[in-house]
Order: sequence, then C-alpha cells, then structure tokens
Amino acid sequence: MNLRTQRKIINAIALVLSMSAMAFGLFWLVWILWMVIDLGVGALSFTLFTENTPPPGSAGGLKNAIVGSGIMVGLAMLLATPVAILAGIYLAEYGKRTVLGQVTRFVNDILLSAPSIVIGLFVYAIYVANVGKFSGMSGIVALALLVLPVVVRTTEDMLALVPNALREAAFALGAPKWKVILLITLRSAKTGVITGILLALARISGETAPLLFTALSNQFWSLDLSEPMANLPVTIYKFAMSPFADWQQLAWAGVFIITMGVLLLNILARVVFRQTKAQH
Amino acid sequence: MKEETTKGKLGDLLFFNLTRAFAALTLALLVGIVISLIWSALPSITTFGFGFLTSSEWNPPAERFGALVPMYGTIVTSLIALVIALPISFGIALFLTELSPTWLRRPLGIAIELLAGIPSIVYGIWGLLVFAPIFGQYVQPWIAKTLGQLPLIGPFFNGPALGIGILAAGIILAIMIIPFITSVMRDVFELTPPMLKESCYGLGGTTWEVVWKVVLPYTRVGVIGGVMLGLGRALGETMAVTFVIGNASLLSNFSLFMPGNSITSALANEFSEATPGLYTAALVELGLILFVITFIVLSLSKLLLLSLEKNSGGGH
Amino acid sequence: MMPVEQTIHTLTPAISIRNLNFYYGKAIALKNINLDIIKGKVTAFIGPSGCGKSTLLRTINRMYDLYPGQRADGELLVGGVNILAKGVDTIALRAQVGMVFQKPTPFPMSIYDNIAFGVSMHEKLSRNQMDDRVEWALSKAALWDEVKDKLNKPGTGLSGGQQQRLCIARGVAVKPQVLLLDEPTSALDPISTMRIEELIHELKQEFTIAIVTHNMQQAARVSDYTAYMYLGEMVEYGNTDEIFIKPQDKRTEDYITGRMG
Repeated sequence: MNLRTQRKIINAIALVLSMSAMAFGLFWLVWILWMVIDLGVGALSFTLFTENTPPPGSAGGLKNAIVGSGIMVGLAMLLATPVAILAGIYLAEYGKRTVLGQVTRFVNDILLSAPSIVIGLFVYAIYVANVGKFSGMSGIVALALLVLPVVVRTTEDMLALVPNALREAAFALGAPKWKVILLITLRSAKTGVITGILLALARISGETAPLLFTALSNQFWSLDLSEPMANLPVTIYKFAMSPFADWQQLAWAGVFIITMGVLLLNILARVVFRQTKAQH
Repeated sequence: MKEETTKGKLGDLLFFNLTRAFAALTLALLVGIVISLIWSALPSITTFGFGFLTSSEWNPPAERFGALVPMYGTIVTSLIALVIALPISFGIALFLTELSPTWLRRPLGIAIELLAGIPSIVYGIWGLLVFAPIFGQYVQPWIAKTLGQLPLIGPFFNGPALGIGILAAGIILAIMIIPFITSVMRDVFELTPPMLKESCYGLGGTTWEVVWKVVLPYTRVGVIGGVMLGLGRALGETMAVTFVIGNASLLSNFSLFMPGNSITSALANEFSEATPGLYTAALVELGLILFVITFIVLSLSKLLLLSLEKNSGGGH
Repeated sequence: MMPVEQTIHTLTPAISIRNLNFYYGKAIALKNINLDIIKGKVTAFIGPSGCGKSTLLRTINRMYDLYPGQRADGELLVGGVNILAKGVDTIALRAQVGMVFQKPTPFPMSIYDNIAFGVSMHEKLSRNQMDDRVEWALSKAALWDEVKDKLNKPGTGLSGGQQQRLCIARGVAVKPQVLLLDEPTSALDPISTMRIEELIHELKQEFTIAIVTHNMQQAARVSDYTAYMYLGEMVEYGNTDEIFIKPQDKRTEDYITGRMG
C-alpha cells in the first residue's frame, strides 16, 4: 500500500475513534440524566416537601432531610467562606513568595483533592468521638472543611487576575493596603470569587461520605444541631440500599432534586464566570 | 492627616495578621488531619504493625484486621478506571481541540464537565439500580466469551455475571474521572503554540500525526499531571464505589467479576456501626492509608504541573 | 514597470498566482493578486504589517485550511496544478512546499528525529538511507558540524539560531520544490540572521524560495525579485535592484525610503 494512503487511513481511523470517544462520554451523561429524570419525576409529589421521612413500608416525604441539608449546607458556607476569602487574600496579596504562602498553597491543593471521606473521619476523630454522639454541628464542620480549599483557591486565582496597574493607581492616591485590597482588588475580582463560592456550594450539596460519620441521619424532624440531623444525601443512600419500594421511590425523588440542584449551581457558576471574563 | 496615616498603618497591620492567621489555619488543618488520624489509628498500628498491610483477614468478631483486601479493591478499581478513562479522555480532548466545529466546542465541553458535576451518590444509585443489572445480563457474559477466553488475562474476566463487582465499580469510576482528565488534557493541548502545530502540518502531517507526534510529546508532563489528578479522584471516591463494588471482604480469586471491597466502601459501610476500640482504629488506619496514597499521587501531579508551568514560562 | 514584467515572464515560474482573493470570514485580505514566483530564485515579499504578505505565503501551502472561516478564490498553480481547487491533497502539496516560521519550532524530539520525522511521512527509507538523508539535510542547513555529535539530544536544547537552521533542515529534508520562509530571522540575533541569509543564498541552487520579511535590507540582500504589498494589494513586483533603486510606484518609494510603514 502506498505510504500516503496508509497514513490517511490511520488518520481517518484515529479521527473516527476520537469522535466515538466524544459520543461515549455524552452517552453516559444522557443515560444518567435520563434515568434521573425518568425515575425521579415519577416519584415527585407535593408530600415530599410536607412530610418527614417515613418508617419502612409506608408513604412519606423528605421534608426533614431537605431542611436538614439546607441548614447544614448554609451554615457550612457561612462558617467557611469568610475564613477562606481571607486566607485567599493572604496568598494572593501578601504571601506570594513567602514560605508560609508557598506551603499553604501546596497544602490547600492537597486538601482540595483529599478524599472527602477522610475529612469525615477527621471530624469524627476530633469532634464526634470526643462529644460521644453524632450531631448536625459535626456535619457542618465536615462540610465547611470541604468548602474551605475550593474558595481559597478560586479567591487567590481571581485576585491574581486583577491587573497590578489597578492596585498601583489606588496606592498612588495614598490608600492603605488593606483598603486597597478590600475596596479595589477584591471588588474587581468579585464575580470570580462568587463563582468559587457557587462551585463549593455545588460540591457540598451532593456530598454524602463525610456526613456518614458526622451528622449521620435522623428519621424525625429536628433542628437541634447537637443531635443527629437528617439530610438528603445520607437519606438517599439509606433508602436506595433498602429493599422497600416506598423508600426506593423516595430515594429517586431525592436524587432528582439533588442532581438538578447541583447541575443548576454548576451552570449558574459558569454564567457568573463568563461575566468575569467579559469584564477583563 | 497624621492621625489618618497612623490609623491606616494600624489597619494594615491588623488586616495582614488576620489574613495570615487564616492562611496558617489551612496549613494547621492538614497537620491536624494527619495527627488525628494517626492518633485514632494508634491501637491498630501498635497491635498489627506492618502486618496490617499484608494480611487479607478482616474479622471483626475475632478482632483481627488486615488492609490487603480493601487496598487491593481501591487500587484495582482505580487502575481499571484509568485504563478506560485515559484513551477516552484523550479522544475527547482531541475532538474538542482539533476536530469539533468551533460553535460546538463550548456546549460539548460543558456537557463533559457536567459529568463531573453529578454528585457521586447519583452515580452510585444509578450504578446499582440501572447500570449493574444491564451490565450483568448483557455485557459481562459477552466479555467472558471474548476477553475471558484469552490466555493470561482470561482469568480476570471469568466467573458469575453478577453485575456488581470490581469491574463495574471500575467502569463507573472511569466515567466519573473522564471529565477531570479531559479538562486537563484540553487545557494543555490548547497551550501548544499554533506555530508548532503548523510546522508539522507544513511538512504534510495529518491531524493524527500532529497530535500524536507533536502535541502529545510537547504536553506530556501536563497530561501525566492530569492523569494523576484523575487517579487521585478515583482512589478517594466513596459513594459510587460503595454502591456497586459488592462489599465482600474476601479475596478468593483474581476475577474482576467478583465482588470486593475498597478502603472507602469499607469505611462507608462499617464505620458508623463499628465497635469502639480496635475495630474503629483499624478502620481509621484504612483511612490513613488512603490519605497517604492520595497524598503521594496528588503531590506528584502537582509537582509535574508546576514543572510544566516553569518550562512554558522559560522560552518554549 | 512593463519591461521588468517582461523579463520575469521569460523565466520559468514555479508558482503562478492568478486573480487570487483571500478572505478572513467576510473581511478581504488579499485583492486580485497576480504574480509568478520564479523557479530557482529568491522572491521577497515586503510591506507594512497587515499588508497580507504572510497571508499570501500561507495560501501557497494551504495552511489557512486549518482555520474555519478563511478561504481563497482565484488560481494558484504549483507545478501546473491549481491547488485552490477542491479535492487537492494538501498532504502531497505540503510535501512539495516546505515552510519555516517566524520563531524556531523544533519538535519535542531529538535532533535526528526532528529531521527524520518529516521524511518518514513521505518516503520509506532504510536506516542507512535515513542517516544519509539527515546528514545531507543538516549539511544543507550548515548545521551538521555543530550537531553531528549530539544527534540524539533534544532539538529544543540548541540555541535560537541553531534551532531555526534545524527547522530549515527539516523542511529541506523532505526535498520540496519550494521553500516558504515567513520572517525566518525575526526572532534571531544579528549573527544568526547573517548565517540564515548566507544559507538562503546556498539553498536557491536547489530550491525556489519565497521569503516574507520586515527587514528591507534583508530583502535587498537575499532576494532576486521583490514584491511590495500594501493593504492586500500587490503594488509593485520586479527585480530587487530596480525596486530598491528606482521604484515605479509612489507608495513603494515611500515605504522603502522610510516615510511610511
């Protein structure tokens, strides 16, 4: 066979395989989303939001789990975001070349990709084991520890994108550094930082593993943070693994709510981030 | 005026130390995690020593524990995931950077990234209730008839077609890490200078030759970094694996069709019901081992990506 | 202008361009270009930035194909074949028309493989034949003596000037008929530039060369013919000596004497 024809055939085969890989990736996305919608929508009902999780074999809703998840996710964000933004500011504005800065940046990246179940174990070891029982508060701490590295990283990255000329212009007016950072730099990196917060929110909304040893779950309505707290992911886990049809039905409804919520947050983060890019 | 300046200086000092304290907190956190895990695992570490890593016994009533089975499960499922995800991610990155029409690049890229956005518990429940039955009924018998008949690798693909098991867990992990590896590959492929690609096209190279002989070697460090990132994800993934791996603490043969256990699935299944003492300590030690493995993998990936940045900064 | 054109017309063209227009999307970048690039000579393209000289070069090997939205119409004959026509094999075309870029672009492989890679795409050579070809090409590019002891070292380890000569050797090794040089010395120091210019003199014994340059002295030193382009049009084309000594067009004169561009 002619060398050139041979090369063209290899090229054609490679390109077809590349297209197949693309189709393969899309295939799973479509299949998973289709099943989530197909089985989830069927399981949706008004009582999901008005009734608590039922005992096996009877009908009920997910009210306590949805509210519990909302409380824990919300408080975890409140706890972690300010800390993370300040740490991110240090990395970008003060600690670029200091030893503390370099080491923290490295450690933060390790935390960013550390298995979330290990974070759960850690909170269990320092909190749950000492208090002696599972609690909503320990779940909040575990989720907050997952938020922290995400927001630190995006804050630092976004501040680094702010042009130096802007900082210099503010300094030239005689403003002290902390004012420059808070009023000028951070403000112009605002949408980027919000993107990071949204991504962190999306990440912890679906997290299950770290809650297994911290908040655990609660079949009943409870707002007491010192008691085990109901939440969507662990409830889905428990119900999906169970042999009861009612529970499995509720699990699919929960899966639908969580998947749609998380994907919406992801898309929202993208839209916000696009605005950042447009500004710069 | 003078008072203003002093106030500014004081503010600067306060703000600087505040941000520095929180940065140091991040650092303290990692140290804290390592120390607390070691501390909690201490009973198991002192009782079993290095034998913990080589023993395949996992017997809670008799309080004899070894990490071999869950370590095997974690490593093998992650390797299966990598073997599948690597070529697929490469294909997708190639498609998105070289082949796709410009208007399709963004939507397709987002679609693949959405795969990373789906919570892992959704992969788990879908894997157990939707994927595994179909996989066991149609795909596994076919694999047993084809790959299972080959010499050498045949024994890996034999046995009862249960659907769930090590192979199913590996496949679902592969789907979960494809977006991570693809995203890094895509980013580094786009870093390749257009002129370098044009040089190869200019010699009469085909698209495949440009990507395989020029782009891939040029970006290899970044690609390896991305693969490590994906591997780190696969090693630490919990819920999806827990649902489909089958949760068997026994290792009777090397068939990938058999149910198994991974470090994460052992933790998820047993931890909240474990009796305090040696059982809990052994589980924490499993977590510690997992943390050490992912720490090594992620540090390597980080170092590789850093050296890439330095290289492309310095005159390529 | 007429007499010059006539002398050019009596020579054999390697490339004939007729009524060539080029578009970036809707914007027109080359307007009705007509020109012969003479076999075995060096033709220089000069003009201010954005005049279309690089675009013209990239049309000759259809490099623009890589980018959606870029297209050309008219006729561009290489070896008598209109390469703008549909169904032209760009791989075969690019084997005939080599290209060297503004910056050195050594491939991420050894010096030897940098040369052998392109050759092996078009010819099946034995190990010995390939060794000979690599030596031949590196000698042509006046690089052999400098690298013969480190052929297995990466091409990226060479100095900028050496890298650019490696890229020229890489193009030469495929034995094309035409070499396109797109500002080949713009990233190099004066000494490396001088060596490349000497090399161009040597290479025109065997290859037809088209060079785009910002540097008018360079055009005057290396080329036999010069084309001055402005805003996508071919303003003037003729013997290099005549273009530089008594340009016919006011715009050419302004550019050459430094009043514009």
